[in-house]
Amino acid sequence: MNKLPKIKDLQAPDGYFDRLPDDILAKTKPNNSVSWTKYAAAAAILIGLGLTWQFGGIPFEEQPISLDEEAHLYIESQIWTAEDILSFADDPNALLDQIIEEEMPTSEELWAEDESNWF
Amino acid sequence: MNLTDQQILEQIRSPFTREIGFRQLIETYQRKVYHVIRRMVIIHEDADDLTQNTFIKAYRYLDKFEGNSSLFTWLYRIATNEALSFLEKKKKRFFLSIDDHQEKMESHLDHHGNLNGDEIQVRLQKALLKLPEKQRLVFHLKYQEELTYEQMAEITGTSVGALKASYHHAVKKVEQYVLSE
Repeated sequence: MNKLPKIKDLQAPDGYFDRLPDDILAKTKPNNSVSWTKYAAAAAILIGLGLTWQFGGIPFEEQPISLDEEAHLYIESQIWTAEDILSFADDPNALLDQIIEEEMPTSEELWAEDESNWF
Repeated sequence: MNLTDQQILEQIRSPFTREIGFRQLIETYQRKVYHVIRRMVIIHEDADDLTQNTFIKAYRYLDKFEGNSSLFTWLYRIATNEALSFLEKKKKRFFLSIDDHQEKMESHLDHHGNLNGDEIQVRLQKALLKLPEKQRLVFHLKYQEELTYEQMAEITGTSVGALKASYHHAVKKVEQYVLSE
Protein backbone atom coordinates (compact mmCIF):
# COMPACT_ATOMS: atom_id res chain seq x y z
CA MET A 1 0.00 0.00 0.00
CA ASN A 2 3.01 2.26 0.49
CA LYS A 3 3.44 2.15 -3.28
CA LEU A 4 0.21 4.05 -3.89
CA PRO A 5 0.01 7.85 -3.58
CA LYS A 6 -2.88 9.64 -1.86
CA ILE A 7 -5.79 10.35 -4.17
CA LYS A 8 -6.31 13.97 -5.22
CA ASP A 9 -9.89 15.06 -4.60
CA LEU A 10 -11.75 16.41 -7.62
CA GLN A 11 -12.50 20.03 -6.82
CA ALA A 12 -15.93 21.67 -6.80
CA PRO A 13 -16.39 24.83 -8.93
CA ASP A 14 -15.35 28.12 -7.33
CA GLY A 15 -17.90 29.50 -4.89
CA TYR A 16 -19.90 26.26 -4.85
CA PHE A 17 -19.81 25.86 -1.06
CA ASP A 18 -20.82 29.50 -0.56
CA ARG A 19 -24.04 28.91 -2.50
CA LEU A 20 -24.86 25.39 -1.37
CA PRO A 21 -26.45 26.16 2.05
CA ASP A 22 -28.88 28.65 0.44
CA ASP A 23 -29.73 26.21 -2.36
CA ILE A 24 -30.53 23.47 0.14
CA LEU A 25 -32.48 25.71 2.52
CA ALA A 26 -34.58 26.98 -0.38
CA LYS A 27 -35.60 23.38 -1.13
CA THR A 28 -36.65 22.68 2.46
CA LYS A 29 -39.20 25.50 2.46
CA PRO A 30 -42.80 24.74 1.47
CA ASN A 31 -43.65 26.14 -1.95
CA ASN A 32 -46.79 28.24 -1.44
CA SER A 33 -47.17 29.20 -5.11
CA VAL A 34 -47.78 25.56 -6.03
CA SER A 35 -50.90 25.35 -3.87
CA TRP A 36 -52.21 28.59 -5.44
CA THR A 37 -51.73 27.25 -9.00
CA LYS A 38 -53.37 23.96 -8.00
CA TYR A 39 -56.53 25.79 -6.91
CA ALA A 40 -56.47 27.95 -10.05
CA ALA A 41 -56.16 24.86 -12.28
CA ALA A 42 -58.96 23.08 -10.43
CA ALA A 43 -61.20 26.16 -10.77
CA ALA A 44 -60.45 26.43 -14.51
CA ILE A 45 -61.35 22.75 -15.04
CA LEU A 46 -64.61 23.14 -13.10
CA ILE A 47 -65.58 26.25 -15.08
CA GLY A 48 -64.75 24.45 -18.32
CA LEU A 49 -66.85 21.42 -17.35
CA GLY A 50 -69.70 23.68 -16.26
CA LEU A 51 -69.72 25.54 -19.58
CA THR A 52 -69.55 22.28 -21.55
CA TRP A 53 -72.51 20.91 -19.58
CA GLN A 54 -74.43 24.21 -19.91
CA PHE A 55 -74.10 24.36 -23.67
CA GLY A 56 -74.85 20.72 -24.41
CA GLY A 57 -71.30 19.35 -24.42
CA ILE A 58 -69.38 17.76 -27.27
CA PRO A 59 -71.13 14.90 -29.11
CA PHE A 60 -69.62 11.54 -28.08
CA GLU A 61 -68.51 10.53 -31.60
CA GLU A 62 -66.53 13.77 -31.99
CA GLN A 63 -64.56 13.46 -28.73
CA PRO A 64 -60.85 13.07 -29.41
CA ILE A 65 -59.05 10.20 -27.67
CA SER A 66 -56.73 11.14 -24.85
CA LEU A 67 -52.98 11.50 -25.34
CA ASP A 68 -52.38 8.36 -23.25
CA GLU A 69 -54.79 6.32 -25.35
CA GLU A 70 -53.22 7.61 -28.54
CA ALA A 71 -49.74 6.71 -27.26
CA HIS A 72 -50.94 3.19 -26.34
CA LEU A 73 -52.32 2.74 -29.86
CA TYR A 74 -48.98 3.74 -31.38
CA ILE A 75 -47.05 1.40 -29.05
CA GLU A 76 -49.39 -1.55 -29.58
CA SER A 77 -49.23 -1.14 -33.35
CA GLN A 78 -45.41 -1.01 -32.98
CA ILE A 79 -45.10 2.39 -34.64
CA TRP A 80 -43.32 3.76 -31.53
CA THR A 81 -40.56 1.97 -29.61
CA ALA A 82 -39.63 2.46 -25.94
CA GLU A 83 -36.78 4.71 -27.05
CA ASP A 84 -39.22 6.91 -28.98
CA ILE A 85 -41.42 7.30 -25.92
CA LEU A 86 -38.42 8.32 -23.78
CA SER A 87 -37.34 10.87 -26.35
CA PHE A 88 -40.83 12.45 -26.25
CA ALA A 89 -40.84 12.78 -22.45
CA ASP A 90 -40.15 16.19 -20.87
CA ASP A 91 -38.00 14.47 -18.26
CA PRO A 92 -36.84 11.04 -19.49
CA ASN A 93 -34.69 10.62 -16.36
CA ALA A 94 -37.71 10.91 -14.08
CA LEU A 95 -39.62 8.43 -16.26
CA LEU A 96 -36.77 5.92 -16.08
CA ASP A 97 -36.41 6.40 -12.33
CA GLN A 98 -40.12 5.67 -11.96
CA ILE A 99 -39.81 2.47 -14.02
CA ILE A 100 -36.76 1.37 -12.04
CA GLU A 101 -38.47 2.19 -8.69
CA GLU A 102 -41.41 0.02 -9.72
CA GLU A 103 -39.39 -2.89 -11.01
CA MET A 104 -36.20 -2.94 -8.96
CA PRO A 105 -35.44 -3.46 -5.24
CA THR A 106 -35.31 -0.51 -2.84
CA SER A 107 -32.09 1.14 -1.67
CA GLU A 108 -32.27 -0.56 1.76
CA GLU A 109 -31.37 -3.81 0.04
CA LEU A 110 -28.12 -2.26 -1.17
CA TRP A 111 -26.58 -2.92 2.20
CA ALA A 112 -27.15 -6.71 2.34
CA GLU A 113 -23.88 -7.99 3.76
CA ASP A 114 -23.82 -11.37 2.02
CA GLU A 115 -23.52 -9.75 -1.41
CA SER A 116 -20.41 -10.49 -3.41
CA ASN A 117 -20.09 -6.79 -4.19
CA TRP A 118 -18.26 -6.26 -0.88
CA PHE A 119 -15.42 -8.51 -2.05
CA MET B 1 -17.68 29.80 15.22
CA ASN B 2 -17.44 26.03 15.42
CA LEU B 3 -20.40 24.51 17.17
CA THR B 4 -20.46 20.97 18.51
CA ASP B 5 -22.95 18.42 17.18
CA GLN B 6 -24.88 18.79 20.41
CA GLN B 7 -25.18 22.57 20.03
CA ILE B 8 -26.25 22.21 16.39
CA LEU B 9 -28.90 19.68 17.36
CA GLU B 10 -30.20 21.91 20.16
CA GLN B 11 -30.60 24.79 17.71
CA ILE B 12 -32.39 22.56 15.21
CA ARG B 13 -34.80 21.21 17.84
CA SER B 14 -35.95 24.67 18.86
CA PRO B 15 -38.58 26.04 16.44
CA PHE B 16 -37.05 29.54 16.80
CA THR B 17 -33.54 28.56 15.73
CA ARG B 18 -34.28 25.56 13.49
CA GLU B 19 -33.18 27.24 10.26
CA ILE B 20 -30.02 28.72 11.79
CA GLY B 21 -29.15 25.33 13.22
CA PHE B 22 -29.72 23.55 9.94
CA ARG B 23 -27.59 26.10 8.10
CA GLN B 24 -24.88 25.49 10.66
CA LEU B 25 -25.16 21.74 10.06
CA ILE B 26 -24.76 22.22 6.30
CA GLU B 27 -21.83 24.61 6.67
CA THR B 28 -20.06 22.24 9.05
CA TYR B 29 -20.43 19.08 6.98
CA GLN B 30 -20.99 20.15 3.35
CA ARG B 31 -17.39 19.65 2.20
CA LYS B 32 -17.04 16.22 3.78
CA VAL B 33 -20.41 15.05 2.46
CA TYR B 34 -19.74 16.44 -1.02
CA HIS B 35 -16.33 14.79 -1.29
CA VAL B 36 -17.45 11.38 -0.04
CA ILE B 37 -20.14 11.48 -2.73
CA ARG B 38 -17.93 13.01 -5.43
CA ARG B 39 -15.32 10.26 -5.01
CA MET B 40 -18.05 7.75 -5.78
CA VAL B 41 -19.90 9.46 -8.63
CA ILE B 42 -16.99 11.51 -10.11
CA ILE B 43 -19.14 14.06 -11.98
CA HIS B 44 -19.77 17.34 -10.14
CA GLU B 45 -23.40 17.79 -11.28
CA ASP B 46 -24.30 14.33 -9.92
CA ALA B 47 -22.40 14.97 -6.70
CA ASP B 48 -24.23 18.30 -6.32
CA ASP B 49 -27.68 16.68 -6.68
CA LEU B 50 -26.82 13.89 -4.25
CA THR B 51 -25.28 16.26 -1.69
CA GLN B 52 -28.43 18.37 -1.74
CA ASN B 53 -30.59 15.25 -1.43
CA THR B 54 -28.52 14.07 1.53
CA PHE B 55 -29.10 17.29 3.47
CA ILE B 56 -32.76 17.48 2.51
CA LYS B 57 -33.26 13.92 3.79
CA ALA B 58 -31.33 14.80 6.94
CA TYR B 59 -33.62 17.82 7.43
CA ARG B 60 -36.71 15.62 7.10
CA TYR B 61 -35.48 12.92 9.47
CA LEU B 62 -33.55 15.01 12.02
CA ASP B 63 -36.38 14.68 14.54
CA LYS B 64 -35.88 10.92 14.43
CA PHE B 65 -32.12 11.17 14.97
CA GLU B 66 -31.60 9.74 18.44
CA GLY B 67 -27.97 10.65 18.86
CA ASN B 68 -26.77 7.04 19.21
CA SER B 69 -24.13 7.81 16.59
CA SER B 70 -22.39 11.08 15.73
CA LEU B 71 -23.99 13.48 13.25
CA PHE B 72 -21.05 12.86 10.95
CA THR B 73 -21.56 9.06 10.74
CA TRP B 74 -25.32 9.55 10.36
CA LEU B 75 -24.84 12.01 7.47
CA TYR B 76 -22.25 9.72 5.89
CA ARG B 77 -24.70 6.85 6.04
CA ILE B 78 -27.32 8.88 4.18
CA ALA B 79 -24.72 10.20 1.71
CA THR B 80 -23.19 6.81 0.90
CA ASN B 81 -26.66 5.30 0.51
CA GLU B 82 -27.56 8.09 -1.91
CA ALA B 83 -24.37 7.52 -3.93
CA LEU B 84 -24.76 3.73 -4.05
CA SER B 85 -28.44 3.95 -5.01
CA PHE B 86 -27.57 6.44 -7.75
CA LEU B 87 -24.86 4.20 -9.22
CA GLU B 88 -27.14 1.18 -8.96
CA LYS B 89 -29.83 3.03 -10.93
CA LYS B 90 -27.32 4.09 -13.57
CA LYS B 91 -26.17 0.47 -13.97
CA LYS B 92 -29.73 -0.72 -14.40
CA ARG B 93 -30.43 2.02 -16.91
CA PHE B 94 -27.51 0.81 -18.97
CA PHE B 95 -29.42 -2.44 -19.49
CA LEU B 96 -32.25 -0.33 -20.88
CA SER B 97 -29.65 0.87 -23.42
CA ILE B 98 -29.61 4.54 -22.53
CA ASP B 99 -25.98 5.29 -21.78
CA ASP B 100 -22.90 3.76 -20.25
CA HIS B 101 -22.34 5.73 -17.08
CA GLN B 102 -19.08 3.94 -16.34
CA GLU B 103 -17.59 5.23 -19.58
CA LYS B 104 -18.93 8.69 -18.84
CA MET B 105 -17.14 8.76 -15.47
CA GLU B 106 -13.87 7.52 -16.98
CA SER B 107 -14.00 10.11 -19.72
CA HIS B 108 -14.67 12.80 -17.09
CA LEU B 109 -11.41 11.81 -15.38
CA ASP B 110 -9.51 12.21 -18.64
CA HIS B 111 -10.76 15.75 -19.09
CA HIS B 112 -10.91 17.03 -15.52
CA GLY B 113 -8.64 20.07 -15.10
CA ASN B 114 -7.73 19.11 -11.57
CA LEU B 115 -5.98 15.93 -12.72
CA ASN B 116 -4.56 17.23 -15.99
CA GLY B 117 -1.08 15.98 -16.65
CA ASP B 118 -1.00 13.74 -13.59
CA GLU B 119 -0.88 10.30 -15.19
CA ILE B 120 -0.64 8.41 -11.91
CA GLN B 121 -3.69 10.15 -10.43
CA VAL B 122 -5.79 9.43 -13.52
CA ARG B 123 -4.63 5.83 -13.48
CA LEU B 124 -5.39 5.48 -9.79
CA GLN B 125 -8.87 6.99 -10.16
CA LYS B 126 -9.58 4.72 -13.11
CA ALA B 127 -8.37 1.69 -11.17
CA LEU B 128 -10.87 2.60 -8.44
CA LEU B 129 -13.67 2.81 -10.98
CA LYS B 130 -13.01 -0.83 -11.86
CA LEU B 131 -13.91 -1.95 -8.32
CA PRO B 132 -17.46 -2.92 -7.38
CA GLU B 133 -19.16 0.19 -5.90
CA LYS B 134 -19.24 -0.96 -2.29
CA GLN B 135 -15.64 -2.05 -2.39
CA ARG B 136 -14.72 1.34 -3.81
CA LEU B 137 -16.62 2.99 -0.99
CA VAL B 138 -14.74 0.90 1.59
CA PHE B 139 -11.45 1.85 -0.05
CA HIS B 140 -12.24 5.57 0.07
CA LEU B 141 -13.51 5.51 3.65
CA LYS B 142 -10.38 3.72 4.84
CA TYR B 143 -7.59 4.95 2.58
CA GLN B 144 -8.74 8.49 1.86
CA GLU B 145 -10.84 9.41 4.89
CA GLU B 146 -8.75 7.32 7.29
CA LEU B 147 -11.82 6.24 9.24
CA THR B 148 -11.60 3.39 11.73
CA TYR B 149 -13.27 0.10 10.85
CA GLU B 150 -15.69 0.72 13.72
CA GLN B 151 -16.79 4.05 12.19
CA MET B 152 -17.08 2.39 8.80
CA ALA B 153 -19.18 -0.38 10.33
CA GLU B 154 -21.54 2.25 11.75
CA ILE B 155 -21.85 3.99 8.38
CA THR B 156 -22.33 0.88 6.27
CA GLY B 157 -24.10 -1.34 8.80
CA THR B 158 -21.60 -4.07 7.98
CA SER B 159 -19.34 -6.10 10.26
CA VAL B 160 -15.74 -5.05 10.87
CA GLY B 161 -14.53 -8.42 9.54
CA ALA B 162 -16.33 -8.00 6.22
CA LEU B 163 -14.99 -4.46 5.86
CA LYS B 164 -11.40 -5.57 6.53
CA ALA B 165 -11.68 -8.31 3.93
CA SER B 166 -13.28 -5.91 1.46
CA TYR B 167 -10.52 -3.32 1.94
CA HIS B 168 -7.80 -5.97 1.59
CA HIS B 169 -9.25 -7.13 -1.75
CA ALA B 170 -9.68 -3.55 -2.96
CA VAL B 171 -6.05 -2.62 -2.20
CA LYS B 172 -4.75 -5.70 -3.98
CA LYS B 173 -6.81 -5.03 -7.10
CA VAL B 174 -5.86 -1.32 -7.21
CA GLU B 175 -2.16 -2.08 -6.76
CA GLN B 176 -2.29 -4.71 -9.47
CA TYR B 177 -3.97 -2.34 -11.88
CA VAL B 178 -1.81 0.71 -11.15
CA LEU B 179 1.49 -1.15 -11.15
CA SER B 180 0.73 -3.47 -14.07
CA GLU B 181 2.31 -1.13 -16.64
